[in-house]
Amino acid sequence: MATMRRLQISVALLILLISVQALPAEPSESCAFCINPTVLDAKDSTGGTVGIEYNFKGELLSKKFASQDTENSIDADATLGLAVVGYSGRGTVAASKERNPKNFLEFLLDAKGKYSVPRFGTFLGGLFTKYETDQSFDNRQGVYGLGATYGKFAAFGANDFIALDANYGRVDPKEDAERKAALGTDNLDLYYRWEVEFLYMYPVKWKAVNAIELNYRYFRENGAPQAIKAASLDKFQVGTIRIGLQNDLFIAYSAGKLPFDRKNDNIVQIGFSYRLN
Amino acid sequence: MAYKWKENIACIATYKVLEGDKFLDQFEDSDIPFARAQKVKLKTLHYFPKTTANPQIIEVLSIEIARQFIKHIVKTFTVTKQKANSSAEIIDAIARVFADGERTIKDLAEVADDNIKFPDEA
Repeated sequence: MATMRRLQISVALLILLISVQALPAEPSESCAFCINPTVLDAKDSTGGTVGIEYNFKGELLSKKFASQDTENSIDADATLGLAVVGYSGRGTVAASKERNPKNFLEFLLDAKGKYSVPRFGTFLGGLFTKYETDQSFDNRQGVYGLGATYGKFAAFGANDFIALDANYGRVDPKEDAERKAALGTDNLDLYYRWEVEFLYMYPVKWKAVNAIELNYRYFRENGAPQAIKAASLDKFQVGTIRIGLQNDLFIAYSAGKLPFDRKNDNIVQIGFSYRLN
Repeated sequence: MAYKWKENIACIATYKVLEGDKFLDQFEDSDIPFARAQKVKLKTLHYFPKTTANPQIIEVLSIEIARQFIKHIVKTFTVTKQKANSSAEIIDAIARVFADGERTIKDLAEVADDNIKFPDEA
């Protein structure tokens, strides 16, 4: 019965996925909430599933501290400075929650400052609070702390891009089932964690390949108890390489595990992005 | 009134700076000719990350590519400010378009035209 139900949901999502392709071009307006149909396959799980990746964002307060030039000419080297209070969210919903290797929801609320000058690049830093959960809601937690992001376009070659995003903050494990099992208690203490993400994108002009993208995410608990280390819950990392092909096709390969992934495995993902209005 | 994608300097400059090998080189003109470019979403271009949705990284990237976009336009075309805003505000306005992958090349041309006065404008 459960298998039949999952099959029905999968078929419904597949129809939705196909129907999205037939949508007409959208009008020119900003997208506050976006969804992208995708296909997920986890190597060690019971099979693949269709799903939807989504993201949303907005600003609650914005104050500019940019350089004020009075001339009529445009200075592309102008210093840019801003202070912003904003929110954003992202996640993946799968037809089968058991087969969803990605986080169901990551919600971020932050107060940050920006500083951008041509030679140095762009720096972003500030305070943040984040909530994340898997699709079953068995594992969920809140995080807050400090974060900083640096990026530079044309860093090593024409039109490449490199970025490093680092966050350090306190984690509230709440319903982290794996942590409860490792520590043998339902009363979990708060802990601090590093989260680092690296991105490098390099455009190429090969016959079949037009872009190569590398992404690496690393999580490390600060001062983790021995039981957490023994259960390999103190460090997580995942690396992804994506090769962009002609005709908007791509191949992406991920190895590793995010803090709330249900499977420690390699993920092959094939998909495309369209917008639902 | 909705912005029209046409062969004015604002649209041509936007297209050329995105496409040109000596500029941002985001696509080939044989794949996306000028007439079809208006509907192309920015998230399909090379600059937009496909392996992460990290909003901080996308924000930083958008400011960086917006600055490059304006730099190429200023070097290639004789342009001035369209309004009494600062250069930083123009960079920020264009960065916000680059940050939203669902926006199109026409949207980028519209915001560029709204902030930058091109030679064919009175």
